[in-house]
Amino acid sequence: MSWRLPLGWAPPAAPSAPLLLGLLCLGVLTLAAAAALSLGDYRVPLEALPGILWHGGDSNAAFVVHELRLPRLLTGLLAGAALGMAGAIAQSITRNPLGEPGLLGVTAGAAFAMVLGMAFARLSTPAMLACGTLGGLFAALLTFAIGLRTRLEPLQLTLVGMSVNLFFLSAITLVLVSSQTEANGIYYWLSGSLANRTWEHVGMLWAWVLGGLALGLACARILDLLALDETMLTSLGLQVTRWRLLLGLTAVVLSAATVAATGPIAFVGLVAPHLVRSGLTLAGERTTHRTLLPLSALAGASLVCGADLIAKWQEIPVGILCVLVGGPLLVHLIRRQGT
Amino acid sequence: MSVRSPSVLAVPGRPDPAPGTPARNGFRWILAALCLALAATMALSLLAGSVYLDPHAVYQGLIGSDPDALGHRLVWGLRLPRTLLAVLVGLHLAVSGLILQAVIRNPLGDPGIVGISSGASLLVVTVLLLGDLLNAGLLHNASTEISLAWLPFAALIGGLGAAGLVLGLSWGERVSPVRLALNGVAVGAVLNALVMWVVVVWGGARTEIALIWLAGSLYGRDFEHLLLLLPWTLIGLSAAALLLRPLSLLRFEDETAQSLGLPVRRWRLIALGVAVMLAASATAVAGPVGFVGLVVPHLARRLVGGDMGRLLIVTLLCGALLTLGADIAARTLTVSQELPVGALTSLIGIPIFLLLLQRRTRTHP
Repeated sequence: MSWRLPLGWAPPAAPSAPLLLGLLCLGVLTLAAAAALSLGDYRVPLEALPGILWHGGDSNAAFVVHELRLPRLLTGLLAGAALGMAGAIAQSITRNPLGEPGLLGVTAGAAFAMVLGMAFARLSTPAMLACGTLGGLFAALLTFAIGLRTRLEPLQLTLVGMSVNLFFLSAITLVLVSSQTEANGIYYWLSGSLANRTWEHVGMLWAWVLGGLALGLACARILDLLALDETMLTSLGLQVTRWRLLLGLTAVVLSAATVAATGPIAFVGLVAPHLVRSGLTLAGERTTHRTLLPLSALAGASLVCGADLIAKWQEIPVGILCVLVGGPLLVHLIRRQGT
Repeated sequence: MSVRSPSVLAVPGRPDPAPGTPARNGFRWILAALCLALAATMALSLLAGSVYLDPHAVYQGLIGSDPDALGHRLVWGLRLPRTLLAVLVGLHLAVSGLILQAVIRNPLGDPGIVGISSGASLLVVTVLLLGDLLNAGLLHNASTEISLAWLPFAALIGGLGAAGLVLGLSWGERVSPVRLALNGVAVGAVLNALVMWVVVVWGGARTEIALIWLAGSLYGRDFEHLLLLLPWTLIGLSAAALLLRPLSLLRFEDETAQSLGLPVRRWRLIALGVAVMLAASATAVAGPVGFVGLVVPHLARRLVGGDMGRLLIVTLLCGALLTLGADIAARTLTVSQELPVGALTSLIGIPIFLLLLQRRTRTHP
């Protein structure tokens, strides 16, 4: 498993493998996008799509595509990209192949803070987002504070994170029941759904996601270094803790933004980076964060969009499907972690 | 069901103190205190609720013959069955946790963590909703009462399947506690996602009911549920009592138990089956009530030490006490609506779980 980087000699870079992988993801994404825009109760013929997308118009088809399907697609795309990237960052800074915002308690903490906000105050969207970020940060700090005693050993840390996760989920149930808000909609939101997303959700997400992606890419070099031995890094003059905190904050903001827009979608952050890593390893390519981060974002986006396609067909929350994919992978990783 | 020559099987470790010694007296005091506490809590459970009844009204309601009096209807229709059910559910889960912790030699054993609750939930929800669909399809005189009696069996199958899966995934030379818990949570997440799927796709008008049941609640249970659970309690408890000696041996390494004359594999399977039966039947009636089975045996071990017989009795009482207390809190804390007990017990149980996890890693790094 090549997730820890070898030092020193770098093989002559052959850009083909990451490029191929990227093209593959883009292909899947395009297919999923085309299907998402054209299929549904109201069929929009595939050949009419480019025209509608480009010129708009006031036909029924244009309305369906522009007002109903495009926002949903874009929300899924942005959320998937953010989750994939956040997962990759979390795995690197915790040096933990099981790292994922959901498994570290971040998503449930963010969701809890937002449910508190929804139940007891009418917050504006940015305030809600800030609330979620604070909640996610608090949950992450809690997980690490407890996990620190066990020296951040991957399995232990994950177990602590999942317990924190469960704790906040029960707390959410209690808040929902005792505050008598309109619980049905919130329940649906809690299982992670892309149904009925509007341009408002896209507007809420895009700035944060693009900002996070840019910041992550800018720090790719640092992320490569952070995989090295800590004492050596310190002696080389890198301020390890400061960078870890900054990158961790980026991951938390990315996941809090997706929680605000789509509800907690678990396991994408776990699956996407592992898919990319195993793809790169299969091609004999060295994994660096400059390729890993954008590819994880792409893979996350195609995962969520693909899952949403199936979810739309049955009208079930997309989060459920992601758990069904991610759970078995988690079990597999746990198995491998021990041996 | 007893094991050969009991003299060999006397539990090594703590010698049984002679009658009259301080330790034995201590146990008596603890037992008396717990029984008293349980009786007091049950009385409180009859008094408290969204309408407070004074003791006289409860007494009148219990023995009075006027079926229309408020006290009578509240006590017999709502509070008495609910109280008894809370006692039974707590006892089931706690004893199940005790057996699991002994058999898999793992301090983090709990019916919820091993996956029994989620497996049982999946099958129960499926049966509930399928029964509804069938009733609607076949129509007319088919009543839902039929499907109710099947619930414990469905839960049993689901619980056995899920527990088998989780244990099979994490069984190595010995079951590492952390890996077991992680596998349990992962399998639980997948099963819960399936439950949500079933509810969303087939739920229809029953979604709300299914969601309330899934949060773990004793709301609206009557004597019918109680009668449903009672046979399982009797079977499970007598089985647990018969299992005492094998259980106290199963806590040792396989070789030790084997050399003491215990067919380890057979008894382990039987004990696991009993644990699953207890937890699954409780889940069928009350929904998943988390972490009772984890917390209570540890508490009991603190109180009376390692002797299995004493542990069983104290675990049983403490489990009933904890669940009943949580249920009273669930229906009195908020005025307007009830909290689900399951969420409440998880909220109490998870910090204790984390504490246990930390202590374990500190002693065995």
